[in-house]
Amino acid sequence: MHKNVTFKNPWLPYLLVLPQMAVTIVFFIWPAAQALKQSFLVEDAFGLSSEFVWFDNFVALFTDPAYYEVMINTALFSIGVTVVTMVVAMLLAVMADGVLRGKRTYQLLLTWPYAVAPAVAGVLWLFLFNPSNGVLALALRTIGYNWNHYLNGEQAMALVITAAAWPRIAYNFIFFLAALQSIPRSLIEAAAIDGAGPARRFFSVMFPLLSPTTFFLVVVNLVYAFFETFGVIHTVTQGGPGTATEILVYKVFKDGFIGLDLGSSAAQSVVLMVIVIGLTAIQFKYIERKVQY
Amino acid sequence: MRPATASTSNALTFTSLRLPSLETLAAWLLALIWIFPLLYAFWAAFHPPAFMVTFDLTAPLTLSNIIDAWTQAPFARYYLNTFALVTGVVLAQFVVCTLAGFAFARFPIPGKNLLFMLVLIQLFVFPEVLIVENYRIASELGLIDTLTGVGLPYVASAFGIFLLRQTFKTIPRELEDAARIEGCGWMAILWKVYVPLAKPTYLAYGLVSISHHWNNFLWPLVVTNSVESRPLTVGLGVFSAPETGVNWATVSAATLLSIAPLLVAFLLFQRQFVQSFLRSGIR
Repeated sequence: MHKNVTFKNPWLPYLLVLPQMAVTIVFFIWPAAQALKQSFLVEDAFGLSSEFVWFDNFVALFTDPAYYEVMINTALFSIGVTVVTMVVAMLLAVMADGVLRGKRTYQLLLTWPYAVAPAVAGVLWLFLFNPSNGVLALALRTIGYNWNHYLNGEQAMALVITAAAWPRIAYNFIFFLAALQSIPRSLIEAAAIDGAGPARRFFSVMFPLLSPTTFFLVVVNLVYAFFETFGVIHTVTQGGPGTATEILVYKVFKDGFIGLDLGSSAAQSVVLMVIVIGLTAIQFKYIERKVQY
Repeated sequence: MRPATASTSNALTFTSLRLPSLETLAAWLLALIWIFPLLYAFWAAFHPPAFMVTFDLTAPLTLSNIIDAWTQAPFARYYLNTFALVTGVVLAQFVVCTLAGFAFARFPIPGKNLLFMLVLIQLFVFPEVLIVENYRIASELGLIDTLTGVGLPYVASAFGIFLLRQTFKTIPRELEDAARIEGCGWMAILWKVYVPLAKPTYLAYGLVSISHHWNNFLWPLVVTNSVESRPLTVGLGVFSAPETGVNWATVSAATLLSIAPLLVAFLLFQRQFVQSFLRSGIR
């Protein structure tokens, strides 16, 4: 057994964590406390005085149909991004696992989009689907489907989901491929000998073995969809048309910096923080005891 | 977990039971569709605007879009900003997270678990979540429109501290004791024993952090408002905003300019990137 006390200076550990704590206090604890405080206050029209209003900001928030709509948008968007990302990534990984020639090139091609920032991915997809001269928008028009995501909210949502999922698929692909390659071939061979076709082999043998990876990716993708996709929304639709693609993070930004409604914006930050901490807790439960099946 | 780039020599794979050529063809077709937005950006950037929607393999190649983009927006400055930002953030994160990770791994601090919980809670709480409050603090500190303002909030990375703490914990105490017998102080022990043994972790964390900060958007967008401090992503966002009326060919060229360095880095270090994502698998 080692004794823990190995250095003479009792202040040393505190000195070591000091820089980190200083930044954490200034850019996390203090602003979190401020948001919490602000979320219980209402400022007068001139910003001169504020009044303590208990949960009024939260009540106003949760009874506001606009916030309700944004919640639904966020749910749709984040579930959409997660599902699209994982289904496509799994498909690509299964294929990459099978490709025998040019494997390296193939994998490089598939991981490449991860180098593209979400904001830039938004710009790339906007090229393709720009109603006036985007290649794919024009192609859709020639087969009789009128694409205009500036007017059609559903099309706008589909486009931001696609653009947000696209760079993310590469990340998921890496994890699925690694997990697939760690599955013992003998298991799959055994299933094949028992007469299981490719689809059956996938769903009965490989998919269950991928469940720890899948679970991990669900949480990470949800966090991504919630908090890191602002750039996509901002470059592709700016929340529009109307508020059809406005998600929680975008609304915090809009209310805080454009609408300057500080009480509501602070309450929204608090809601976001609760979501983040919830997802983190789930994540850590996962790390402690890996998913069992 | 084995790295994604490891090759499988086993003859029987999931798909090889079917016709291999057809299978391979389908796989490649899917990969091409998947990479299409990038290919299209290359096409649009290197051809005259007239060929934006007509795919003619004999279309003349041109560099004029790239030159237009380079001259119409201060990309040289944006590059410099992003480069300085990413370097500064990653180096500062290394220093801060190494010290904190070391303390959390090896010292008996009263209330250590509480402090560490505090670190972990902010694992996912990026400045984006508390953006209005963080903006106010940054402005009180006079950090608005400075590169320090863009980078500083990320320096105490919970993720980095967590990774380094885990790594340091796996390093045998005997090595530390040996160094102490040789007369090393804590700084020498950290620098000569812990840091060298944690090299793979630094590489993994560094690559993840570089790609994250190169691509970061919301916080830099809010904090910066001039050419002098804007990183590439924000500069591109400003440049390609629909109301500026810049033509699409130029915008594609600008887009390629802003992603080219990371694309090249991925080409060169693909194996390292893939392994770092797998190794740092909690984010």
